Amino acid sequence: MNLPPSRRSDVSAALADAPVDGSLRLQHCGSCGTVQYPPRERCGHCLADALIWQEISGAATLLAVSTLSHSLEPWFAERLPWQVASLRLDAGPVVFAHLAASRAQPHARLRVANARDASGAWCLVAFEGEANTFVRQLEQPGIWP
Amino acid sequence: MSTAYTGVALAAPVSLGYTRTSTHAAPWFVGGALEAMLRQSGLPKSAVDGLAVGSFTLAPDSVVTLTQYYGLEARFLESLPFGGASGIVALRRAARAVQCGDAEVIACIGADTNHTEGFRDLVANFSGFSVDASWPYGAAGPNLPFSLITARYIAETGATREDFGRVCVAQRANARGFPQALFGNKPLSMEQYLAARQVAGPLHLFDCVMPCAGAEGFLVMSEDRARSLGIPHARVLAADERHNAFAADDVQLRAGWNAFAPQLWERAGCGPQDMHLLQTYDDYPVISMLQMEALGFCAPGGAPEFVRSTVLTNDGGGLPHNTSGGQLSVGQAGAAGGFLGLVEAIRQITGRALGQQVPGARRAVVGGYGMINYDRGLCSAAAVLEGA
Repeated sequence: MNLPPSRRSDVSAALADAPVDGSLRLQHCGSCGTVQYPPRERCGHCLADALIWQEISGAATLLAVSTLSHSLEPWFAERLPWQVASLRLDAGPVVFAHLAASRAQPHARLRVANARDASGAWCLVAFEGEANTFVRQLEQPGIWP
Repeated sequence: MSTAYTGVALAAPVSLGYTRTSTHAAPWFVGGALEAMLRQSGLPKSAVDGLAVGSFTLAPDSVVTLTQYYGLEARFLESLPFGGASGIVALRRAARAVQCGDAEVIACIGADTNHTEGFRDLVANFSGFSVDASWPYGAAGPNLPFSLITARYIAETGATREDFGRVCVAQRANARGFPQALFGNKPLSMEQYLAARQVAGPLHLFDCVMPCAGAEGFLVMSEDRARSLGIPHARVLAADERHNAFAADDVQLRAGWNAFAPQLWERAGCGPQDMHLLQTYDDYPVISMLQMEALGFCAPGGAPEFVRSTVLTNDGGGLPHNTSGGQLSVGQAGAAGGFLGLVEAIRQITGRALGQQVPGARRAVVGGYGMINYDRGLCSAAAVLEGA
Protein backbone atom coordinates (compact mmCIF):
# COMPACT_ATOMS: atom_id res chain seq x y z
CA MET A 1 0.00 0.00 0.00
CA ASN A 2 1.24 3.47 -0.86
CA LEU A 3 2.10 5.84 1.98
CA PRO A 4 3.22 9.45 2.10
CA PRO A 5 6.98 10.05 2.42
CA SER A 6 7.91 8.97 5.96
CA ARG A 7 11.52 10.15 6.09
CA ARG A 8 12.26 13.03 8.44
CA SER A 9 15.55 14.44 9.71
CA ASP A 10 17.11 13.15 12.94
CA VAL A 11 16.94 16.64 14.41
CA SER A 12 13.13 16.56 14.25
CA ALA A 13 12.84 13.19 16.05
CA ALA A 14 11.19 14.81 19.10
CA LEU A 15 8.16 15.65 16.96
CA ALA A 16 7.48 11.95 16.42
CA ASP A 17 6.18 11.87 20.00
CA ALA A 18 4.34 15.20 19.97
CA PRO A 19 0.77 14.85 21.29
CA VAL A 20 -1.92 14.94 18.61
CA ASP A 21 -4.59 16.83 20.51
CA GLY A 22 -4.76 20.16 18.70
CA SER A 23 -1.67 21.59 20.37
CA LEU A 24 1.58 22.62 18.73
CA ARG A 25 5.06 21.68 19.92
CA LEU A 26 8.02 23.29 18.17
CA GLN A 27 11.64 24.23 18.91
CA HIS A 28 12.21 27.11 21.30
CA CYS A 29 15.64 28.57 22.06
CA GLY A 30 16.49 28.33 25.74
CA SER A 31 18.98 31.16 25.33
CA CYS A 32 17.14 33.89 23.36
CA GLY A 33 13.56 32.60 23.28
CA THR A 34 13.22 32.42 19.49
CA VAL A 35 10.72 29.86 18.19
CA GLN A 36 12.04 28.26 15.01
CA TYR A 37 10.91 26.02 12.17
CA PRO A 38 12.02 23.94 10.28
CA PRO A 39 13.90 22.17 13.11
CA ARG A 40 17.66 22.56 13.34
CA GLU A 41 20.48 21.91 15.82
CA ARG A 42 21.24 25.55 16.49
CA CYS A 43 19.12 28.61 17.00
CA GLY A 44 18.76 30.52 13.74
CA HIS A 45 18.78 33.79 15.69
CA CYS A 46 21.51 33.56 18.37
CA LEU A 47 23.22 30.32 17.21
CA ALA A 48 23.01 28.72 20.67
CA ASP A 49 22.35 24.98 20.79
CA ALA A 50 20.16 25.19 23.90
CA LEU A 51 17.01 24.19 22.00
CA ILE A 52 13.95 22.99 23.85
CA TRP A 53 10.86 21.34 22.39
CA GLN A 54 7.88 22.95 24.01
CA GLU A 55 4.26 23.76 23.43
CA ILE A 56 3.71 27.12 21.77
CA SER A 57 0.62 28.88 20.48
CA GLY A 58 -0.72 27.41 17.26
CA ALA A 59 -2.42 30.68 16.34
CA ALA A 60 -1.48 31.61 12.77
CA THR A 61 -2.38 33.80 9.82
CA LEU A 62 -2.92 32.09 6.48
CA LEU A 63 -0.48 33.41 3.84
CA ALA A 64 -1.36 31.39 0.74
CA VAL A 65 -3.10 28.17 -0.29
CA SER A 66 -1.99 25.68 -2.91
CA THR A 67 -4.38 23.07 -4.25
CA LEU A 68 -2.22 20.28 -5.63
CA SER A 69 -3.54 18.65 -8.80
CA HIS A 70 -0.38 16.66 -9.38
CA SER A 71 2.04 14.75 -7.19
CA LEU A 72 5.02 12.51 -7.79
CA GLU A 73 4.09 10.70 -4.57
CA PRO A 74 1.55 7.92 -5.22
CA TRP A 75 -0.29 8.36 -1.90
CA PHE A 76 -1.06 11.99 -2.73
CA ALA A 77 -1.67 11.24 -6.42
CA GLU A 78 -4.54 8.94 -5.32
CA ARG A 79 -6.11 11.72 -3.21
CA LEU A 80 -5.95 14.79 -5.46
CA PRO A 81 -6.83 17.57 -5.26
CA TRP A 82 -4.91 18.10 -2.02
CA GLN A 83 -4.70 21.40 -0.11
CA VAL A 84 -1.51 22.71 1.45
CA ALA A 85 -1.04 26.15 2.97
CA SER A 86 1.72 28.42 4.17
CA LEU A 87 1.01 30.22 7.44
CA ARG A 88 2.79 32.73 9.65
CA LEU A 89 2.61 31.54 13.25
CA ASP A 90 2.02 34.28 15.80
CA ALA A 91 5.06 32.74 17.54
CA GLY A 92 7.24 33.68 14.56
CA PRO A 93 8.05 31.08 11.90
CA VAL A 94 6.41 30.37 8.53
CA VAL A 95 5.15 26.78 8.25
CA PHE A 96 3.73 24.61 5.50
CA ALA A 97 0.78 22.54 6.70
CA HIS A 98 -1.92 20.24 5.37
CA LEU A 99 -4.99 22.45 5.19
CA ALA A 100 -8.15 21.09 6.79
CA ALA A 101 -10.06 24.38 6.38
CA SER A 102 -10.89 24.06 2.73
CA ARG A 103 -12.49 27.45 2.13
CA ALA A 104 -9.98 29.54 4.09
CA GLN A 105 -8.69 32.69 2.38
CA PRO A 106 -5.37 34.53 2.83
CA HIS A 107 -5.25 36.57 6.06
CA ALA A 108 -7.68 34.13 7.74
CA ARG A 109 -6.89 33.29 11.33
CA LEU A 110 -6.28 29.55 11.71
CA ARG A 111 -4.58 27.20 14.13
CA VAL A 112 -1.64 24.90 13.41
CA ALA A 113 -1.17 21.63 15.29
CA ASN A 114 1.13 18.62 15.33
CA ALA A 115 -0.24 15.52 13.68
CA ARG A 116 0.83 12.23 12.10
CA ASP A 117 0.34 11.55 8.45
CA ALA A 118 -0.74 8.18 7.08
CA SER A 119 2.87 6.94 7.17
CA GLY A 120 2.95 7.60 10.90
CA ALA A 121 5.54 10.36 10.51
CA TRP A 122 5.03 13.80 12.05
CA CYS A 123 3.43 16.60 10.08
CA LEU A 124 1.62 19.88 10.66
CA VAL A 125 -2.07 20.54 10.03
CA ALA A 126 -3.87 23.89 9.81
CA PHE A 127 -7.54 24.10 10.79
CA GLU A 128 -10.26 26.50 11.86
CA GLY A 129 -11.51 26.96 15.39
CA GLU A 130 -10.21 25.74 18.72
CA ALA A 131 -8.21 22.67 19.65
CA ASN A 132 -11.32 20.61 20.41
CA THR A 133 -12.60 21.31 16.89
CA PHE A 134 -9.43 19.74 15.58
CA VAL A 135 -9.85 16.65 17.75
CA ARG A 136 -13.36 16.19 16.28
CA GLN A 137 -11.94 16.58 12.78
CA LEU A 138 -9.44 13.83 13.57
CA GLU A 139 -12.35 11.42 13.76
CA GLN A 140 -13.62 12.30 10.29
CA PRO A 141 -11.74 10.19 7.80
CA GLY A 142 -10.57 11.84 4.61
CA ILE A 143 -10.33 15.41 5.85
CA TRP A 144 -6.59 15.20 6.33
CA PRO A 145 -3.90 12.45 6.39
CA MET B 1 39.78 49.78 -4.33
CA SER B 2 37.84 49.42 -7.55
CA THR B 3 35.01 46.94 -7.64
CA ALA B 4 34.82 46.98 -11.44
CA TYR B 5 35.31 43.86 -13.54
CA THR B 6 37.61 45.77 -15.88
CA GLY B 7 39.72 43.71 -18.24
CA VAL B 8 37.70 40.50 -17.90
CA ALA B 9 36.27 38.70 -20.93
CA LEU B 10 33.50 36.10 -21.19
CA ALA B 11 33.96 33.92 -24.26
CA ALA B 12 33.18 30.60 -25.94
CA PRO B 13 29.55 30.22 -24.83
CA VAL B 14 28.28 26.65 -25.31
CA SER B 15 24.94 24.85 -24.81
CA LEU B 16 24.75 21.15 -25.58
CA GLY B 17 23.46 17.69 -24.82
CA TYR B 18 19.83 18.58 -24.06
CA THR B 19 17.65 15.47 -23.75
CA ARG B 20 14.60 14.63 -21.63
CA THR B 21 16.44 11.86 -19.80
CA SER B 22 19.91 10.43 -20.17
CA THR B 23 21.87 7.35 -19.10
CA HIS B 24 25.11 9.37 -19.19
CA ALA B 25 26.55 10.53 -15.85
CA ALA B 26 27.15 14.21 -15.12
CA PRO B 27 30.90 14.15 -15.99
CA TRP B 28 29.94 13.27 -19.58
CA PHE B 29 27.99 16.53 -19.81
CA VAL B 30 30.63 18.65 -18.04
CA GLY B 31 33.34 17.20 -20.28
CA GLY B 32 31.24 17.81 -23.38
CA ALA B 33 30.96 21.49 -22.47
CA LEU B 34 34.71 21.70 -21.88
CA GLU B 35 35.47 20.05 -25.22
CA ALA B 36 33.11 22.40 -27.06
CA MET B 37 34.61 25.48 -25.40
CA LEU B 38 38.14 24.42 -26.37
CA ARG B 39 37.03 23.86 -29.95
CA GLN B 40 35.28 27.22 -30.09
CA SER B 41 38.17 29.18 -28.55
CA GLY B 42 40.99 27.32 -30.27
CA LEU B 43 42.71 26.89 -26.90
CA PRO B 44 44.47 23.64 -25.97
CA LYS B 45 43.26 21.85 -22.85
CA SER B 46 46.56 22.73 -21.15
CA ALA B 47 45.63 26.44 -21.33
CA VAL B 48 42.68 25.91 -18.98
CA ASP B 49 44.01 26.35 -15.44
CA GLY B 50 40.69 26.92 -13.66
CA LEU B 51 37.43 25.00 -13.45
CA ALA B 52 34.17 26.11 -11.81
CA VAL B 53 31.31 23.60 -11.88
CA GLY B 54 27.69 23.68 -10.83
CA SER B 55 25.94 20.28 -10.86
CA PHE B 56 23.37 18.57 -8.66
CA THR B 57 24.11 15.11 -10.05
CA LEU B 58 27.91 15.06 -9.92
CA ALA B 59 28.21 12.94 -6.74
CA PRO B 60 30.20 10.84 -6.00
CA ASP B 61 32.43 12.97 -8.21
CA SER B 62 33.31 16.59 -7.50
CA VAL B 63 35.10 19.43 -9.24
CA VAL B 64 38.30 18.00 -7.73
CA THR B 65 37.91 14.47 -9.09
CA LEU B 66 36.99 15.92 -12.46
CA THR B 67 40.57 17.24 -12.86
CA GLN B 68 41.86 13.68 -12.99
CA TYR B 69 38.89 12.55 -15.11
CA TYR B 70 39.70 15.15 -17.80
CA GLY B 71 43.49 15.25 -17.31
CA LEU B 72 43.47 18.90 -16.23
CA GLU B 73 46.12 20.55 -14.08
CA ALA B 74 44.31 23.40 -12.33
CA ARG B 75 45.24 26.16 -9.92
CA PHE B 76 41.69 27.38 -9.41
CA LEU B 77 38.71 25.14 -8.62
CA GLU B 78 35.27 26.28 -7.58
CA SER B 79 32.21 24.25 -6.73
CA LEU B 80 28.92 26.08 -7.28
CA PRO B 81 26.03 24.88 -5.10
CA PHE B 82 23.88 27.88 -6.10
CA GLY B 83 21.39 26.21 -8.45
CA GLY B 84 19.88 28.86 -10.67
CA ALA B 85 22.38 31.50 -9.56
CA SER B 86 25.39 29.28 -10.36
CA GLY B 87 26.29 30.91 -13.67
CA ILE B 88 26.51 34.46 -12.37
CA VAL B 89 28.26 33.37 -9.19
CA ALA B 90 30.77 31.47 -11.36
CA LEU B 91 31.31 34.61 -13.41
CA ARG B 92 31.97 36.68 -10.28
CA ARG B 93 34.40 34.18 -8.71
CA ALA B 94 36.24 33.52 -11.96
CA ALA B 95 36.47 37.20 -12.93
CA ARG B 96 38.15 38.06 -9.63
CA ALA B 97 40.56 35.14 -9.94
CA VAL B 98 41.56 36.28 -13.44
CA GLN B 99 41.91 39.91 -12.35
CA CYS B 100 44.12 38.88 -9.43
CA GLY B 101 46.23 36.49 -11.47
CA ASP B 102 45.15 33.36 -9.61
CA ALA B 103 44.27 31.74 -12.93
CA GLU B 104 44.36 32.68 -16.61
CA VAL B 105 41.58 30.72 -18.29
CA ILE B 106 38.68 29.42 -16.20
CA ALA B 107 36.05 27.09 -17.62
CA CYS B 108 32.68 27.80 -15.95
CA ILE B 109 30.24 24.95 -16.49
CA GLY B 110 26.74 24.09 -15.33
CA ALA B 111 25.71 20.57 -16.26
CA ASP B 112 23.41 17.83 -15.06
CA THR B 113 22.18 14.49 -16.17
CA ASN B 114 18.58 13.37 -15.61
CA HIS B 115 17.98 9.70 -15.02
CA THR B 116 14.44 8.36 -15.25
CA GLU B 117 13.67 8.84 -11.54
CA GLY B 118 16.24 11.60 -11.23
CA PHE B 119 13.98 14.54 -10.55
CA ARG B 120 12.03 12.76 -7.83
CA ASP B 121 15.25 11.72 -6.09
CA LEU B 122 16.63 15.25 -6.34
CA VAL B 123 13.63 17.00 -4.83
CA ALA B 124 12.99 14.31 -2.20
CA ASN B 125 16.48 14.89 -0.76
CA PHE B 126 17.08 18.52 -1.71
CA SER B 127 18.00 19.91 1.73
CA GLY B 128 17.51 19.30 5.44
CA PHE B 129 14.66 21.79 5.57
CA SER B 130 12.89 20.38 2.52
CA VAL B 131 13.01 16.81 3.89
CA ASP B 132 11.16 17.85 7.06
CA ALA B 133 9.01 20.74 6.02
CA SER B 134 8.25 20.65 2.29
CA TRP B 135 8.50 17.22 0.62
CA PRO B 136 6.13 15.42 3.08
CA TYR B 137 3.26 17.66 1.91
CA GLY B 138 2.97 16.05 -1.50
CA ALA B 139 4.13 18.58 -4.09
CA ALA B 140 6.98 18.01 -6.51
CA GLY B 141 9.84 20.09 -5.13
CA PRO B 142 9.50 23.78 -5.92
CA ASN B 143 5.92 23.44 -7.22
CA LEU B 144 4.58 23.96 -3.70
CA PRO B 145 6.50 27.12 -2.73
CA PHE B 146 6.01 28.52 -6.22
CA SER B 147 2.30 27.91 -6.29
CA LEU B 148 2.08 29.71 -2.93
CA ILE B 149 4.24 32.61 -4.20
CA THR B 150 2.19 32.82 -7.41
CA ALA B 151 -1.10 32.75 -5.49
CA ARG B 152 0.03 35.57 -3.26
CA TYR B 153 1.42 37.55 -6.21
CA ILE B 154 -1.96 37.27 -7.95
CA ALA B 155 -3.76 38.41 -4.79
CA GLU B 156 -1.51 41.45 -4.40
CA THR B 157 -1.08 42.59 -8.02
CA GLY B 158 -4.18 41.36 -9.84
CA ALA B 159 -2.04 39.36 -12.28
CA THR B 160 -4.11 37.05 -14.48
CA ARG B 161 -3.30 33.73 -16.07
CA GLU B 162 -3.01 35.59 -19.38
CA ASP B 163 -0.21 37.71 -17.90
CA PHE B 164 1.85 34.65 -17.01
CA GLY B 165 0.86 33.24 -20.38
CA ARG B 166 2.30 36.26 -22.20
CA VAL B 167 5.72 35.45 -20.72
CA CYS B 168 5.50 31.76 -21.60
CA VAL B 169 4.06 32.21 -25.10
CA ALA B 170 6.66 34.84 -26.08
CA GLN B 171 9.49 32.65 -24.83
CA ARG B 172 8.20 29.72 -26.84
CA ALA B 173 8.27 31.90 -29.95
CA ASN B 174 11.85 32.86 -29.10
CA ALA B 175 12.85 29.20 -28.83
CA ARG B 176 12.09 28.56 -32.51
CA GLY B 177 15.39 27.81 -34.23
CA PHE B 178 17.41 27.37 -31.04
CA PRO B 179 18.87 23.89 -31.57
CA GLN B 180 19.00 22.84 -27.91
CA ALA B 181 15.41 23.83 -27.03
CA LEU B 182 13.47 20.64 -26.31
CA PHE B 183 10.24 22.52 -27.13
CA GLY B 184 11.77 24.60 -29.95
CA ASN B 185 9.58 22.95 -32.56
CA LYS B 186 6.40 23.05 -30.46
CA PRO B 187 4.73 26.44 -30.81
CA LEU B 188 2.56 27.50 -27.88
CA SER B 189 -0.53 29.62 -28.37
CA MET B 190 -2.30 31.53 -25.62
CA GLU B 191 -5.28 29.18 -26.11
CA GLN B 192 -3.07 26.13 -25.53
CA TYR B 193 -1.45 27.82 -22.54
CA LEU B 194 -4.82 28.56 -20.94
CA ALA B 195 -6.18 25.07 -21.68
CA ALA B 196 -3.31 23.26 -19.95
CA ARG B 197 -4.03 21.04 -16.98
CA GLN B 198 -3.60 22.39 -13.47
CA VAL B 199 -0.53 21.29 -11.51
CA ALA B 200 -0.67 23.15 -8.19
CA GLY B 201 -2.98 26.04 -7.40
CA PRO B 202 -2.51 28.77 -10.02
CA LEU B 203 0.35 26.85 -11.69
CA HIS B 204 -0.60 24.95 -14.82
CA LEU B 205 1.48 22.72 -17.05
CA PHE B 206 3.19 25.42 -19.12
CA ASP B 207 4.14 27.43 -16.01
CA CYS B 208 6.49 24.67 -14.87
CA VAL B 209 9.89 23.86 -16.31
CA MET B 210 10.51 20.38 -17.58
CA PRO B 211 13.48 18.67 -15.88
CA CYS B 212 16.02 17.41 -18.42
CA ALA B 213 19.73 16.74 -18.99
CA GLY B 214 22.14 19.17 -20.60
CA ALA B 215 25.16 21.42 -20.25
CA GLU B 216 26.05 25.11 -20.51
CA GLY B 217 29.40 26.81 -20.22
CA PHE B 218 31.62 29.79 -20.96
CA LEU B 219 35.28 30.73 -20.51
CA VAL B 220 36.54 33.57 -18.35
CA MET B 221 39.90 35.08 -19.29
CA SER B 222 41.52 38.49 -19.61
CA GLU B 223 40.32 40.73 -22.40
CA ASP B 224 43.89 40.83 -23.68
CA ARG B 225 43.88 37.06 -23.96
CA ALA B 226 40.53 37.03 -25.76
CA ARG B 227 41.73 39.71 -28.18
CA SER B 228 44.95 37.86 -28.92
CA LEU B 229 42.94 34.72 -29.62
CA GLY B 230 40.69 36.76 -31.87
CA ILE B 231 37.51 35.34 -30.32
CA PRO B 232 34.22 37.18 -29.76
CA HIS B 233 33.76 38.13 -26.14
CA ALA B 234 31.64 40.12 -23.71
CA ARG B 235 32.60 42.46 -20.88
CA VAL B 236 31.06 42.55 -17.41
CA LEU B 237 29.76 46.05 -16.63
CA ALA B 238 28.51 45.03 -13.19
CA ALA B 239 27.43 41.92 -11.30
CA ASP B 240 26.14 41.21 -7.83
CA GLU B 241 24.62 38.48 -5.70
CA ARG B 242 22.69 38.29 -2.46
CA HIS B 243 21.68 35.27 -0.41
CA ASN B 244 18.76 34.96 2.03
CA ALA B 245 17.71 38.59 1.51
CA PHE B 246 14.49 39.90 3.09
CA ALA B 247 14.30 36.76 5.25
CA ALA B 248 11.46 38.21 7.35
CA ASP B 249 9.05 38.61 4.41
CA ASP B 250 5.97 36.38 4.71
CA VAL B 251 6.02 35.36 1.05
CA GLN B 252 8.88 35.94 -1.37
CA LEU B 253 7.60 38.75 -3.58
CA ARG B 254 11.06 40.34 -3.70
CA ALA B 255 14.56 38.91 -3.42
CA GLY B 256 18.22 39.86 -3.44
CA TRP B 257 17.93 41.78 -6.75
CA ASN B 258 15.75 44.36 -4.98
CA ALA B 259 18.55 44.88 -2.46
CA PHE B 260 21.35 45.49 -4.96
CA ALA B 261 19.73 46.70 -8.21
CA PRO B 262 20.28 50.47 -7.69
CA GLN B 263 24.00 49.95 -7.01
CA LEU B 264 24.21 47.42 -9.86
CA TRP B 265 23.00 49.98 -12.40
CA GLU B 266 25.15 52.71 -10.90
CA ARG B 267 28.28 50.58 -11.26
CA ALA B 268 27.24 49.52 -14.76
CA GLY B 269 26.93 53.16 -15.80
CA CYS B 270 23.65 52.49 -17.58
CA GLY B 271 20.08 51.51 -16.80
CA PRO B 272 17.28 49.16 -17.81
CA GLN B 273 16.39 51.49 -20.69
CA ASP B 274 19.84 50.82 -22.22
CA MET B 275 19.38 47.04 -22.37
CA HIS B 276 18.78 45.33 -25.71
CA LEU B 277 17.59 42.16 -24.06
CA LEU B 278 16.69 40.68 -20.70
CA GLN B 279 17.40 37.13 -19.57
CA THR B 280 15.57 36.18 -16.39
CA TYR B 281 15.76 32.95 -14.45
CA ASP B 282 12.44 31.36 -15.37
CA ASP B 283 11.63 28.16 -13.53
CA TYR B 284 8.11 29.67 -13.27
CA PRO B 285 6.85 32.85 -14.96
CA VAL B 286 6.16 34.63 -11.67
CA ILE B 287 9.87 34.68 -10.90
CA SER B 288 10.61 36.28 -14.27
CA MET B 289 8.06 38.96 -13.44
CA LEU B 290 9.64 39.54 -10.02
CA GLN B 291 12.99 40.07 -11.80
CA MET B 292 11.44 42.55 -14.25
CA GLU B 293 10.25 44.54 -11.24
CA ALA B 294 13.39 44.17 -9.13
CA LEU B 295 15.78 45.07 -11.94
CA GLY B 296 13.84 48.25 -12.64
CA PHE B 297 12.03 47.49 -15.90
CA CYS B 298 8.80 48.35 -14.07
CA ALA B 299 7.64 49.26 -10.58
CA PRO B 300 7.08 46.65 -7.85
CA GLY B 301 3.79 44.94 -8.66
CA GLY B 302 3.91 46.44 -12.17
CA ALA B 303 5.01 43.41 -14.15
CA PRO B 304 1.49 42.31 -15.16
CA GLU B 305 0.94 45.68 -16.83
CA PHE B 306 4.51 45.63 -18.21
CA VAL B 307 4.02 42.29 -19.98
CA ARG B 308 0.67 43.49 -21.39
CA SER B 309 2.29 46.57 -22.93
CA THR B 310 5.74 45.22 -23.89
CA VAL B 311 6.52 42.86 -26.75
CA LEU B 312 8.80 40.18 -25.29
CA THR B 313 9.65 38.34 -28.50
CA ASN B 314 12.99 38.65 -30.31
CA ASP B 315 11.48 40.28 -33.38
CA GLY B 316 8.94 42.65 -31.86
CA GLY B 317 10.96 45.80 -31.21
CA GLY B 318 10.12 45.72 -27.49
CA LEU B 319 12.25 44.02 -24.86
CA PRO B 320 13.41 40.61 -26.09
CA HIS B 321 13.13 38.34 -23.07
CA ASN B 322 14.74 34.91 -22.69
CA THR B 323 15.86 34.95 -26.28
CA SER B 324 16.60 31.22 -26.62
CA GLY B 325 13.27 30.26 -25.08
CA GLY B 326 14.44 30.17 -21.48
CA GLN B 327 14.15 27.07 -19.34
CA LEU B 328 10.40 26.98 -19.98
CA SER B 329 11.13 26.10 -23.62
CA VAL B 330 14.64 24.63 -23.52
CA GLY B 331 14.17 22.51 -20.39
CA GLN B 332 15.76 22.74 -16.95
CA ALA B 333 19.01 20.78 -16.93
CA GLY B 334 19.60 21.14 -13.19
CA ALA B 335 22.34 23.67 -12.46
CA ALA B 336 22.76 24.31 -16.20
CA GLY B 337 19.49 26.23 -15.86
CA GLY B 338 21.48 28.76 -13.86
CA PHE B 339 23.83 29.25 -16.81
CA LEU B 340 21.34 29.20 -19.68
CA GLY B 341 20.40 32.89 -19.71
CA LEU B 342 23.97 34.05 -19.18
CA VAL B 343 25.38 31.85 -21.94
CA GLU B 344 22.64 32.96 -24.32
CA ALA B 345 23.30 36.62 -23.46
CA ILE B 346 27.01 36.22 -24.31
CA ARG B 347 26.03 34.75 -27.70
CA GLN B 348 23.47 37.47 -28.43
CA ILE B 349 25.64 40.48 -27.57
CA THR B 350 28.56 39.09 -29.58
CA GLY B 351 26.27 38.53 -32.56
CA ARG B 352 26.58 34.75 -32.40
CA ALA B 353 23.03 33.59 -31.60
CA LEU B 354 22.36 29.97 -32.56
CA GLY B 355 18.66 30.63 -33.07
CA GLN B 356 17.11 34.06 -33.56
CA GLN B 357 19.67 36.87 -33.35
CA VAL B 358 18.30 40.10 -31.86
CA PRO B 359 19.46 42.68 -34.41
CA GLY B 360 22.05 45.07 -33.02
CA ALA B 361 22.04 43.56 -29.53
CA ARG B 362 25.08 44.77 -27.57
CA ARG B 363 23.95 45.03 -23.95
CA ALA B 364 22.05 42.58 -21.76
CA VAL B 365 21.10 42.06 -18.16
CA VAL B 366 20.87 38.54 -16.80
CA GLY B 367 19.15 37.39 -13.61
CA GLY B 368 19.92 34.30 -11.57
CA TYR B 369 17.85 32.75 -8.79
CA GLY B 370 18.18 29.49 -6.99
CA MET B 371 17.95 27.02 -4.17
CA ILE B 372 14.37 26.64 -2.98
CA ASN B 373 15.42 25.34 0.41
CA TYR B 374 11.93 25.53 1.89
CA ASP B 375 9.50 28.38 1.23
CA ARG B 376 11.68 30.65 -0.96
CA GLY B 377 14.73 30.77 -3.20
CA LEU B 378 17.82 31.74 -1.24
CA CYS B 379 20.18 32.89 -4.02
CA SER B 380 19.70 35.94 -6.24
CA ALA B 381 22.24 37.29 -8.70
CA ALA B 382 22.39 39.56 -11.73
CA ALA B 383 24.97 40.70 -14.26
CA VAL B 384 25.01 43.52 -16.80
CA LEU B 385 27.03 42.61 -19.89
CA GLU B 386 28.23 44.36 -23.02
CA GLY B 387 29.56 42.87 -26.24
CA ALA B 388 33.16 43.88 -26.89
